[in-house]
Amino acid sequence: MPIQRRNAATLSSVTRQIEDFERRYGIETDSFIARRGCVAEVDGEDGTEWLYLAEQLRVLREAAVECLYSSASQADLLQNDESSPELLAA
Amino acid sequence: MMKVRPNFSLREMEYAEYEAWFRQKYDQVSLEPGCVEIGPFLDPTPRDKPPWKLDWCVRFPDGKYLQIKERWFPRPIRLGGRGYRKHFSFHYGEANCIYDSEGVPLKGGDAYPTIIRIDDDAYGPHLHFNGEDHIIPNRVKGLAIPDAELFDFFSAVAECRASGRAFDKTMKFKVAP
Repeated sequence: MPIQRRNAATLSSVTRQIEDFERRYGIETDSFIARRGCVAEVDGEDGTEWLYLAEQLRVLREAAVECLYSSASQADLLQNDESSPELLAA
Repeated sequence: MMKVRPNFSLREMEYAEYEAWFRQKYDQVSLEPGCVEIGPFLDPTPRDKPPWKLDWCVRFPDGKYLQIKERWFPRPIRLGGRGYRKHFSFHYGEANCIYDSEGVPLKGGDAYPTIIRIDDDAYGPHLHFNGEDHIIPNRVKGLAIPDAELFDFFSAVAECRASGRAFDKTMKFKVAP
């Protein structure tokens, strides 16, 4: 069987899965992420899966913030670059 | 061409290295007739960076199954940001006849006993073997649990199935009392 990929993880798909865990186990992923490096609050296989989702959530959020930040800086740069009107027009 | 690392005791990789390594080893795998394979699924988080995960399951025609999971996390950016294997689980045992949506047998407790499972999870590295759970590494001689390599495990399963020998004899480890 060929090696496959599932649908790429997105911020919303990971958030949905995290919310399922939070409902099932009464946990708060955000407070776990804030503490970083603490022992898992969910045992066994589910615990491993939740830790992985929490890490995905953290990384995807960082990427989203980076993306926002870089678009904002690019826009600022273009607006301030009076020497390149054609670039602004583009 | 990406250089493929020959040894799984390597602690850090980029996703592309891991995928190249996996593909190279997977190409050498042959399954016995009648097996049902689910995956392997290689799932990087977008932009082909850590974290990523591997899930692979093989159901054998005699009602047993093999399940392999690896979870790779990112090192902090100041340490290079490469992936390292934080958790894994290599399982072989009796298969529940009820499957999840992908076809992987559900865990069924004592009715579907584990024959062997090598884990590194929130409990740290440990072994499930001969009906005993959570055997700590310093009781296991001849098997470096944190460095366990999935294709070595796969080969051991194939060899044990073909020869009927026990896993400790095939993998050359001993569990101290």
